[in-house]
This record gives sequence, C-alpha cells and structure tokens, in this order.
Amino acid sequence: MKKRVLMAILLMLSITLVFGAAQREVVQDDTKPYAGVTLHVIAEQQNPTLALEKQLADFEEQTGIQVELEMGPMDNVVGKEMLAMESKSGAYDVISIPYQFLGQLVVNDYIQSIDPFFDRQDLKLDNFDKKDLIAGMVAASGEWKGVNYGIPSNTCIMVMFYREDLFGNPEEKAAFKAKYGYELNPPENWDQYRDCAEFFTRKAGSRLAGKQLTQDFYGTSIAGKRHDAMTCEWLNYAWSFGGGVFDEDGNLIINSPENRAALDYFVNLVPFCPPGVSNNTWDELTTQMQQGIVAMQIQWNDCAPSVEDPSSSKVAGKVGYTTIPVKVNPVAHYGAWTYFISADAPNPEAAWIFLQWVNTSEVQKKIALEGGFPTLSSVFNDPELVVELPYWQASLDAYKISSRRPRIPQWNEMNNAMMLELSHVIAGNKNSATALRDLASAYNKLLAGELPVDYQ
Amino acid sequence: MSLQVGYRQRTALLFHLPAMIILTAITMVPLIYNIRISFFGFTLTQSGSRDVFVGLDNYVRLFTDHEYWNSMWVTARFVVCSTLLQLVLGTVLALIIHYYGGRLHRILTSGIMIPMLVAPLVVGLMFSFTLNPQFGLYSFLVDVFHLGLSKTPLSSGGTALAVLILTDVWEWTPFMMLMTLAALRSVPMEPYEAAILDGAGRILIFRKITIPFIRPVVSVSIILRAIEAFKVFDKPFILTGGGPGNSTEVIDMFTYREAFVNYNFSYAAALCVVLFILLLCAGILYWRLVIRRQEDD
Repeated sequence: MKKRVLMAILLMLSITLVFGAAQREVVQDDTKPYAGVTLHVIAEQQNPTLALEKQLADFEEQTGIQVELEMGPMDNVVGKEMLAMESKSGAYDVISIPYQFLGQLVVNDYIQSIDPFFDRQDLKLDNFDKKDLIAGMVAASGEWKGVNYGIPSNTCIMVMFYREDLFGNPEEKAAFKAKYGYELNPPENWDQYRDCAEFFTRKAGSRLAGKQLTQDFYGTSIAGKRHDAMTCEWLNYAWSFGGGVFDEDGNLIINSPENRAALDYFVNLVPFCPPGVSNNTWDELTTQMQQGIVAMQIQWNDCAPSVEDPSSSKVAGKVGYTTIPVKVNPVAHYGAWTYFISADAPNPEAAWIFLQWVNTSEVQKKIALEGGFPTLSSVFNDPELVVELPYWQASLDAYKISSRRPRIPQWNEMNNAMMLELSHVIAGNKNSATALRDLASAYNKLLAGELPVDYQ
Repeated sequence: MSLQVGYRQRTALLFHLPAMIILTAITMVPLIYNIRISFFGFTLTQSGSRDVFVGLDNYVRLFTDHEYWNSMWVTARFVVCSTLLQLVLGTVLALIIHYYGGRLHRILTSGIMIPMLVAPLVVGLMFSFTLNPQFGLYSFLVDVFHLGLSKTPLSSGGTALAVLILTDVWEWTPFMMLMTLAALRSVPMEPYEAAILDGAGRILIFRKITIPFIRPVVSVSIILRAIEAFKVFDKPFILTGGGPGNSTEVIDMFTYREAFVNYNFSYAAALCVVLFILLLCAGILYWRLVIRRQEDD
C-alpha cells in the first residue's frame, strides 16, 4: 500500500516537472517576452474600438499578452482616465483620449513619450511599419513640442454629405441654372452652399427630382445644440473664413471680423434647416440625412457608414461625399482619439507592443471594414476599400487639408465656453458680435498671463 | 430590570450597528470629504492640485459667477412651478378619485401611477422623441389640430423650461395624488358626520375638516417634491443639454459640468456645499413655519 502511494506521488511529481518545465519554456519564449502580462486599456465605445475588441484574441495568441479592454461613453471614459492618472493609481497601461487633451496630459506628466520605444528593436513587431503611419495624423494627435506621445486610435474628419441623386437630376439642374445662373454641382464655396441650401428647401406638396414631396424638405441641417457637435461644426466655418481661435503666433483671434462673418453665415443657414436646430448634434444630423429630408450637411465621416446602411437609411447609395466648401482656406476639422501610454503604466513595454499591433495593416483594415478609419497610408490606399466605401476618397482628400483644435491645457474649458456662446446665438439671445466679444472676454480670463500661447 | 434594559439596549445597538456603519461610510464620509476639498484647488487636469489649499476662493468665485446665479434662478423657477402644479393637480386628482372614483378607484390609481414608475432618464428620452420636430407625436398633433403652437418648443429659452416643468409635472403629479389620497382615506368619518348634522355645506366641510386633516401629509409631500425638483438633472440633460444658451441649465447640470466636463472638482464641491446649506435652511424654515405650526394647532 505504502509503495503504491509512493509510486503515485512520484508519478505526480514527474508530471508536474514535465508540464512545469514546458510552461516555463512558454514564459521564456523569446518571441513572446511579455507572455502572461495583462494590459489594462480604456477607450470610447465606438465602431473602431468594437472592431478592435473582436481581434484581441489574435493579439493574445501572437504575443501572449492578455488585454482587459474597458469601454464606455466619452465623458465617463475621460473622467476615469483623468482620475486614474491624477491619483497615479496605475490603473491603465494604455488610455485612449481625444487629442485636444494632449497639452494637459503632457504638462501634468500623465503620459510618457513613445519616442524611446521606436528605437527598441527588442520590442518591435515584424508587421509594424512606422513609415506607413500617416505623419500628419500622428503629429496632430500625439506630437507635442517635437516629442511623440501617442498614436491615433479612432480618427475621423469632417466632410460634406450631399444627395448625389438630387444634384445629378436633370430637372433640378435646369431649374437651378435658371434661378442662379450657374450649374448645379456639389458646392465648392460657401456662397454656392447657401444657394444650394436655399434651392432645395421646399414645402410638402412641391416637387423634388420629379416626385411630389409628402413632407417638408430642407437644403441643409446644422448642429445647434449646446454640445461638442456645434463647436466642432462651426470651427470649420471659422477656419474656412480665415478666422479661428488663435493665429499662428498664438494671439487670440476669436473676436475677429472673419469669425463674426463665419458665425453670421452659420446662423443664416437656420431657415434652410429642419426646425429644431438647437437640438441637433451629429446624431440628429445623421438621422435627418438617413430619413432623406435634407440635401446637404457638414458632417463627420464616421457617420457615413450609418447613412450607407440600407437597414437604417432611406438614402443608402444616394449620398455623395466631398470636401467642405472653401471661403479663404480649404479646411476639414480633424477629430481623433489617441492611444497614449500612461506615465504610471505597470507594463509600458507590453503597452508599446499593443500600440504597434493596433497599427498593423491587418488590424487597421478590419477596423476600416467595420466603419473606422485607418492610420496607415497602405490601408487608406487599399484598392478594395477605395472601391467599396463611397466616403473613402472624400475622407482621403479631407485628411490632406485637415485642421485641428488647439490642444492647450485650457482648451476643454474654452470649448465649453464656446458651446455656451454659440448656443446663445442660435437661440437668438445674442448676436454674433456680442457672443464673440463675450467669448473673447471669457478666454482672456481663462488664459490670463499665458497669451500669446507658445504652443497649440 | 436595569440589567435587562442594558442588555436590550446593547442588542439594539448591535443590530443597528451595520446600518449605522454603512450609512456613515456612504453618506457622512463623502460629505465630509466634499466639504474638505471645497477649500482646495483640486482639479483633475492639474497634477498635485489636490493638496493646494485655497481657503474660501471657491466660495468667492461662486458668488461672483454669473453662470451660477443663472442656474440658481432657473432652478428656483423650475422648483416653484413644478411643485405648485403638482400640488394643485395632484390634490384635484386625489379628490376626484376619492369622492367620485367609486369602484374604479383602484384601476384609476394604478393607471395614474404609471408615469411615476418610469425612470427619469427614460422620461427624458420619451419626451425627446415625442417633441422631435420632424418625427414626433407633438409635431403631428400640432399639424393635425392646427394648434398654432411652436413645433420646436425646446428651441426657445422660455418654452424649453416650460417643457421641462411639464415633463416633471407629468412624472410626479401621481406622487402628490397618491399621498393626498392616502391622507384623505385616513380622515375619520366622525367629524364629517357631526358637520353634516350641524348643517355645514360641502365647501365649509372641505375647508374646515378635510384640509386640516390632509395638511400634514401634503406639507411633507411638498417638501419631498421640492427637494427632488431641486436635484433635477436627467430631464434637462437629455432634452436640452442646458440650452438654448443657458436657459435650462439647472444647478445640478451646472455642477455636473464643472465637475465632470471641466474637472474642477473643488469648485463643484463648493457648489454642492452651498446647495446643501441652502436646502437645509429651506427645510428647517419650512419645518418651523408650516409643519410645527400645524402640530401646535
């Protein structure tokens, strides 16, 4: 009996030794030096993040690194990230956050530079090519005073959506030429945009492209809710008109004649919009386009997949996409969340491997096919995507003329002040001049002692 | 005997202890922490700001902040209008059901209670769809019945606040009704019988018997509703985002914006402290003026 027990113990010990050695071999595998590490990543719940989540098993198989991906709506995600970094809890290795927070993150040492990692050959993934990253995107999203801190995650850019079927309709073309004296084409400047908006605004019962309208139809729609959507849209007009927030030297130009003209123009579009402009964010704008009640709008390109989805859109296949009309400057508002490695990341090396993997062409292409936009030139020029996605070419063109928001630490509060003042103008409580004067005064208070800003 | 009482007290204390510990942990500790950080310059976007003592700076800023005073004014209008409307409608509904409900009173009570059971966030979303100018029921009714009303009530400051008040009234009138109905049910029959024998009219009976009997319950309901109305957040957040302009930015939205959009935690904490003191004072005042007087009567 004793012998049997001894034999059993010996057998178990041998099994343990054999499997233990094998397991140690996995841990010590040179191709997977960080196997067994768990990365904590947090990002906004958007199509690209969901597309990424589906591919995490591949990453885990490839590197042995486990990823705990936490997702949520914007305010929650940003709040959690800020709290984690401020309290130096080390809760997240990788954070995804809108790029306009970059200045705050750098000034407070909340994130770490990724430049040293680019030189680390021991951490390099074979299928990651730094040169393939779109340089402009990386600079806008993650570069601060010559140092790289992050790589864009969910990028998007504003383009013009227009009803291709209406703009190409011979009857409409003839009527437009008779009224305005030039050809009806997707507008290239803001005067044409206004004309087109006025032309297509019609009451129920009138005819549109040979059919009788059963409900009112509108030339355009704008985002007028006290919301990020409004400031994002209006900044296109401001930049295009030659205005903006700061000039190149960092002086405040918010109360400039160009901005006043841009704001007047923006508000004067309201009569050509569906009623209730002051409740519109990008969501309402997308719905209005999907329902086929507007002819054009300035919109984020990541809303295009919803417009092209036949199960939820009446106009799938009927919408054209092009760059935003021009007044003085050709512009397109660039928006992006960016992956950063937090300063107190418990596993920065593994986090860098994750960032590289996210930016490989295989991963990026799958993200693109699920409604996201890639960060790599090779994927952007992928013939399959160019042919398959109608908004692809316009997005490519827009990225070439992209403009971005200031990324200074005060921008978040400045943006909120801008929302309030623009909302006053949309509601008719203030005129453009008063609102911009008040906004300038709020900005001067927020930036006291820091003007002109030395870097944005 | 005294030993027994001591034992009983100890047992009672023991049973109460878990609740007291939990309550202290989830209410008193955050409250004290909140008061503490209101004297600091804690903002999430500035490393190390957590420990920067600023004294009364946040309170001084608050009293000179136009946005704060605007949100207090919006909140005050919201609280007064919605509570008053709920009081009147709730009492009328309760009286109708009490005196004329007959056999249907149970069904009527249950039916009227439905809005109260819906989560405030869902109420906001529901009204947001109902008021959608293109696809909403409201716009459809305005067209069909040629009501001559604005199809975009949320686009103008005055009507947007009115819509918020009405959504609150829609949701919480049943609460007022339920409380008043319960109070009406508990009124003893004897005073009524005596009054009828003495030849008193209906209005006199209502004024002299019904109102004094239901007043304590209704008074408490008013204070409960007013406090809840002061804390309204979900509906303006969903329906208007505080706009147009800042015409519907109630105090809780303003505080939320400062804390979780601008990340000025200390300033938001100071806002909460002032709100807490104001509500406490209002509560005490109301207690002394209304409820204690009733007890004295």
